[in-house]
Amino acid sequence: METDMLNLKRASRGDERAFEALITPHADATYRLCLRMMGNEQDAADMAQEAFLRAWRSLSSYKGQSRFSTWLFRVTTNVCLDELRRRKRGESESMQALEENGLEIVDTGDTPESALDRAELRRELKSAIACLNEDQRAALILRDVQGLPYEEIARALDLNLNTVKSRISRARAALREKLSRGMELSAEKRV
Amino acid sequence: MKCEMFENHLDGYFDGSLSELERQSMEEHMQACPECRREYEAQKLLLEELRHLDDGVTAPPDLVSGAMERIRRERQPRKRRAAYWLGGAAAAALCLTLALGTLLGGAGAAGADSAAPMAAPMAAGAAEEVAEAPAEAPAPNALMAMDAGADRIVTEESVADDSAADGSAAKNRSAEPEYGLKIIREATIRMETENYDEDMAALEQLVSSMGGFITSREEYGSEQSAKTGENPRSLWMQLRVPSDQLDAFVEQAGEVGVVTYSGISETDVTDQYADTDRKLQAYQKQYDRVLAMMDQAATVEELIQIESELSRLEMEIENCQGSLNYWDTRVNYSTVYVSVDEVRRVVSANPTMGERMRTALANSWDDFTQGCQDLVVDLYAAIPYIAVWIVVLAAAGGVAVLVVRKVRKRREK
Ligand SMILES: [Zn+2]
Repeated sequence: METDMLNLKRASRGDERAFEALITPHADATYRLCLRMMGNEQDAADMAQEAFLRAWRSLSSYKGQSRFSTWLFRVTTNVCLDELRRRKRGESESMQALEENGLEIVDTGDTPESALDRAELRRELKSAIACLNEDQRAALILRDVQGLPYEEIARALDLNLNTVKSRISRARAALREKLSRGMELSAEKRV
Repeated sequence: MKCEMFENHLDGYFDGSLSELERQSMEEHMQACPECRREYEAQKLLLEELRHLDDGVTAPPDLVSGAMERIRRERQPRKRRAAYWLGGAAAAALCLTLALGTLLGGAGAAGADSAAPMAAPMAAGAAEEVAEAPAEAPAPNALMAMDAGADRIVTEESVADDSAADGSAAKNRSAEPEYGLKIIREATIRMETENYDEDMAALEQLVSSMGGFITSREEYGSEQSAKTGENPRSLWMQLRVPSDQLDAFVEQAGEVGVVTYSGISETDVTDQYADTDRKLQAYQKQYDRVLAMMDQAATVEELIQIESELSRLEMEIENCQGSLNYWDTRVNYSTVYVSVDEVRRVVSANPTMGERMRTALANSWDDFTQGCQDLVVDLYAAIPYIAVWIVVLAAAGGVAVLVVRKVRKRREK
């Protein structure tokens, strides 16, 4: 913590080495966050790098009001959201309509009888996450994948606590709905 | 408990935010209601899966170094100075050694020759870094600058969503001069302001007066809390200005607030641009050829084949054009990242003598500590150079001593 503060002070004065020391411990978490937000590795790497760059450029706006990692996740989430929105604007109407009914597009046509194994379940889950709308996705990932407390997510996304809770709740419900058939069977199998 | 209530409490159940009573009534309900039991199981599995979804996923090894590379590029001038200094010194040492060798002649020359190859690659390495410098200013004439830029490009991040190299176009690394240099310039400005609202208005005015526009804006803190000084406002802005106005913008923005950092980075995309343009022309020619085949198509099958080929080529052409447009706008419009912090500390426009002295003292102390740090860092970085110099100078000294002894011996005879 002490060295973090020192590195922070140095980094905000323009010391790149200090900044590097500051972000290195969060590289994996930042990348994973991007991976879930963007849905593929190439975009995730690009966005994570972009996030570090933006963090460097806006370091002066970090005032120690939250943990550094929370602030970094906030920047990262915003970078991903910006990119996703930018892409969305460029998409055609029909694609947008498809995305709104996103849970249906990735339906791989499993028959209800076939039980999902774990690997399949994870794959399904990942594509289901990719189909959530990006605001719900961001909140869900921060809470359930990254394990941040609600309060920090509220700060990271600049939302009030209730909005965060309801977004996460809605995202979970959507995922449950998508997965419940398969899960029920796989749960029974495991018991 | 009703099913609806059960579902509303489900998140609270797993977050542990329910009262003991609420928990109990949920558990009771679950026993009686298979529907809700299933919801519960689904939630449990979902959360478990989500928590472990990315276990073992690690960032690509070059993620941080790649980002740092881009960050350092914004700060090259300082680095270059150090490289220049070291390169110059290494070159001087080399000259000295060679001169000594030549002067001493005979046996001495042999000694110097063995020392020189060691120093030479080092001096060349340092000089190479210095040679990048000309690329910094977009000199339209300099072929040399273009070559330096081409070397740099190898490590460049891919700027656009690269229309995947099809391989059909011949890869030719040297850029064609007809495009001129395609250099993307970006600026970063950090500043502090006391008159947040006025200065922000001035900044926005400046942007629009230069034909620029704001593309992204994030504001933290509030006016209310700013008054108490506890949570001053800060702003992060991304904006675009015509690139020929960039220098003027940076300069004039610097007059709005107190600039704490400002840097301009440059990315040379001449090579990628030329490559893509060549590819585009190749695709267009191909498109025309296939189009001409359409008249000669005899069967429906052939026609369909030709059409699908045409639409493939159309897509490739669009991709290339997209990339070129992207680069053109990036080159023509520079991105500027501005972050502004509201501060209470007054750096008054007409400071009193005392204030000026205090500021000056604080600044020079800052400079001094920064300078000490830099010196230590530079010295540390110079260790390899110094080590080799010692060897070189020792060798030269040894040779000199030998020669002097020889000469004395001859005289004694
Ligand atoms: Zn029920």
